[in-house]
Amino acid sequence: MNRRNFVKNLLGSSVGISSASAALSSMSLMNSALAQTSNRFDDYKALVCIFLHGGNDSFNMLVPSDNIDYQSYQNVRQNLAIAQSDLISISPSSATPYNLAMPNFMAPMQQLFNQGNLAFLANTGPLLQPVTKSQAQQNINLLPPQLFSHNDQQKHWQTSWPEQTALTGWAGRMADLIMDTQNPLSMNLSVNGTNILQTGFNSLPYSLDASGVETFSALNPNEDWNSDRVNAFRALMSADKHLLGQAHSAIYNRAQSNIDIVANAINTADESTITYPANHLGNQLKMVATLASSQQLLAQSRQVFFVSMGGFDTHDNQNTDQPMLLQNLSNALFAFNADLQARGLSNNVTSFTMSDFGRTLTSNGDGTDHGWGGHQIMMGGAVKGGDIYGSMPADFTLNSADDFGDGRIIPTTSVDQYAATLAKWFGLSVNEINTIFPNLSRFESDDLGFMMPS
Amino acid sequence: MFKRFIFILVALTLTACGGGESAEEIQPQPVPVPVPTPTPEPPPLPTNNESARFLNMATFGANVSSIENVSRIGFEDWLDEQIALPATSHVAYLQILEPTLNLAEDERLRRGERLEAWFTHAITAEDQLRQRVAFALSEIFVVSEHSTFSDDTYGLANYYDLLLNNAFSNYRDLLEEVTLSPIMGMYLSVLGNQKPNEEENIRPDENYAREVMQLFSIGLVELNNDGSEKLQNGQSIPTYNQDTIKAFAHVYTGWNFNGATEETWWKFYQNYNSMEPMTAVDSFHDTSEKQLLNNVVVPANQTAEQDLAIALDNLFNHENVAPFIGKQLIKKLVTSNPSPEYVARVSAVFNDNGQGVRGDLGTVIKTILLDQEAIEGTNSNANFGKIREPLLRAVHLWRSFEASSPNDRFQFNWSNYAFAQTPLGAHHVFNFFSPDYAPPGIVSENNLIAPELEIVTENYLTRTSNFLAYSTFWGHTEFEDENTKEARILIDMTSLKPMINNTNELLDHLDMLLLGGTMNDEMRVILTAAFDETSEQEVNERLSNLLFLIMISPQYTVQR
Repeated sequence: MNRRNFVKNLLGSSVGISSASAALSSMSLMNSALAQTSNRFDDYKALVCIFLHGGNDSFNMLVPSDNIDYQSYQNVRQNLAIAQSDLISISPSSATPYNLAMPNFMAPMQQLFNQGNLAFLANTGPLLQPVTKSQAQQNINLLPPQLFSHNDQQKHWQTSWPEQTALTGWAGRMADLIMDTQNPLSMNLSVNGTNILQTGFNSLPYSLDASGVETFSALNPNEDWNSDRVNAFRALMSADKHLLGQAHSAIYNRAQSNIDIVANAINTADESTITYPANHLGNQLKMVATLASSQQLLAQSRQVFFVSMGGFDTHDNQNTDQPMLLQNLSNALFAFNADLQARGLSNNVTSFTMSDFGRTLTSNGDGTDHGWGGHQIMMGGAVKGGDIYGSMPADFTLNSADDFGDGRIIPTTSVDQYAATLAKWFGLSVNEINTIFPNLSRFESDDLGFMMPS
Repeated sequence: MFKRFIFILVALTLTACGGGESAEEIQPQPVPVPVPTPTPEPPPLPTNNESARFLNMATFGANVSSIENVSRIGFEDWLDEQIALPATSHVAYLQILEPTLNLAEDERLRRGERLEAWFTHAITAEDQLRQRVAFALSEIFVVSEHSTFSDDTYGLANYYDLLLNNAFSNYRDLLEEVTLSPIMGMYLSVLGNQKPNEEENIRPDENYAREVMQLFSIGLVELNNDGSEKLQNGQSIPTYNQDTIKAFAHVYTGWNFNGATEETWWKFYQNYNSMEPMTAVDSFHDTSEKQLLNNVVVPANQTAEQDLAIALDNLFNHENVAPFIGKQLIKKLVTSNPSPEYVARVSAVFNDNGQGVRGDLGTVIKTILLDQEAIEGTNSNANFGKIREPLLRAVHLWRSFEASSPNDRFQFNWSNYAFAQTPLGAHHVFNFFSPDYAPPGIVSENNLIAPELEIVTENYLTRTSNFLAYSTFWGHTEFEDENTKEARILIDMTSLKPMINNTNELLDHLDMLLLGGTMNDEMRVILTAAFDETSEQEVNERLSNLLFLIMISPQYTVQR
């Protein structure tokens, strides 16, 4: 599907849910977007998606702290509850239904929160539209497709468009609209493999990894002695008409046209002065900081990074595994924040987490199963930190109006609203945002207010 | 000494693997034949190119001797021969290897040795079809070293043996052995799963209940036999809902390590036994009634074993299994984009092998590989084929060029770095790549898929290409370097040297081994020019260069 089809496609799907005038305005929007050149932004901004694979049990990140509220949390979580003595308190600027605290293994995150560099978005998840428990029980079509399934819910988070037949992510569609067409390097940079989030109709991410980019050996075109071989290889590529072969060659071409510039940027960037924790996420974020600080050399006024961390599918051993995971996450975020501050990029780079789903409040013995809503983390100088956005469930009682069964909490904020708030800060217009998030208009607010005005 | 070790090992196998059991002992029907019909002509024997192309789908790669064998006896007899071969065991490899290593008392075999067993068998084992199919199964029935049992070398090898032993058995047996494997039990939480405890808000773990349906048996939505989705009012139909998952989760309660008892239930390390199937402790099993799929009910008050038998039969008999599993096996071995008719033919055999038996995997594999679509390849569909899995490109090179190692051991520990793949090393139960992945661009625009491309990022493509350079230019037996004294897997190019002055003959040979005769004129012209250009260079350098060019070409990268 090319970009013009993307326009048609978007119009086709948006007509059903919004007015004809909105469709017309997106048409003119798209026409202007087609003429997009490199000069749209004169500032620098980056988004960093930290995907927590497996479904983070985030109701253990923000825990009711006062006795009576803690008791209701403890009643439902039983052997999975964080001990009350292990809680460290926080004081969000906005009122919450009960006082909240974090587990002590997230101390670095508490510090970021208190300093105003970090905020939470409460009880967010995939939704087709706002839905109550009784509505959802009566009509299965109000539920996102394949609710509670890992890969389907990851897709929903990353696409914000569960109805589409093509698989494009919202950051990819963002790039379709605002990417600098003069720059061979994609606005979307993945530091951990293929993902849907950064795949557009017309734009693809460029993948490297935490250790940087691999450069070609026998196919390095910069070495004279390779030239015959490289030429023969190129001739072989153009001789193959098989579509799968052509797709493979396209990846080679993307690698080849970006390696030198990215490798050069990494090699010439200032070394980080911050010590990162020796874990996979820390290594990835360190590479992100390096590439963010190279944005001028890369001639990128906008960048979206994808990093990820696995292990959150804690069906077993949750009491051992989850503290370790959240501790690693906290330490990595802390170092990353310090690095960005040291580089003077803190206000330019906004990090945010996504995760498949929250988990059941109830236990399966020594772990939890797939849930629905959960809390997310936003970090950076442009985040209105020290606060909790969205709304916490009124209480933790099983079978309450918030509980879709076994403590699967129905989200009160949609992933679309979350992503749209980030996209707005990133510099997209309201029309562009409605184009990228076709279901957004079904929700009350398209800006959750956790970002500083740009 | 070690050569002999390898030799012994090839002969050494696990006991009765049950491969290809035509256990039914069906008597041929005494059909009266009015007119004597002429015995049907046996299909003509394949050419060497056809044999090689066939072997590149059915094994880890063609080599000269296997090509000659297939050309002598034909596809079908070769398949029967292979199915009858017992499994070359990965556990047995480790058991023979371990005493030769003089490990200190506190040392254990590690993942390196497990992978050594895998590479050794992938490259040299006689039961190539079984080894190849087991690898495909390991990407469907996924367990991974990224788990609590990461250092349980024998346990992981034993799980692999389970897949080998069941590669041609009945799917129902495979499903049961997988379900009761303690490694799977730990990976997807059946092990230690207990009946509800309402006081503590504890309910059965849903991990296996969900994934066995989504990934190992029926998938998310109802399917036709040709693999297409059934539709109702234009919508796909979910195969199960959360209630189904809960019911199955209750079924899978009460299982623990082999021999665990009510008293020892909680003593994980004391009970630990990753070599034998889990056994049940009924006091931890939920005995309520359970509503499964297709209105099947598990009655109350049954044992864990009785419940499990009904549940696995329930999955096994679901109409989705044939197209869901059959199509995945086609994609793993033959082509990413099979026609609906091809899938339907395989499903039909899964549902009935011709002797009234459902789930006969040996016959399913035969059907997949003998299907006209597999045999005709790009002759009938220009985009037939699949992206070769990055790891298997290296294995193919090593097999086709009679790999050896200076220390007689096939040790290679950084497969994940080079290929984003390590046997039993996926990052989650969804495998290294999804069976339905359609990369954006030319593939999805044409409504095709290319699952393997999900792990071919720019960076990994570069690494794989560099690994193939390393393995051709610097990875042959005559390369003089300190490295060759290390544990390296080295190819042998000496058999190519007599052809050095006959470019056509040389290309014919490489075309056969690596491309199964699919090299077209255009490719041949390019390679001829590229080879002739190097005439001033040293012989090995020239051959390495030619091999490398073929190995990285899109013509080779797409197995077709």
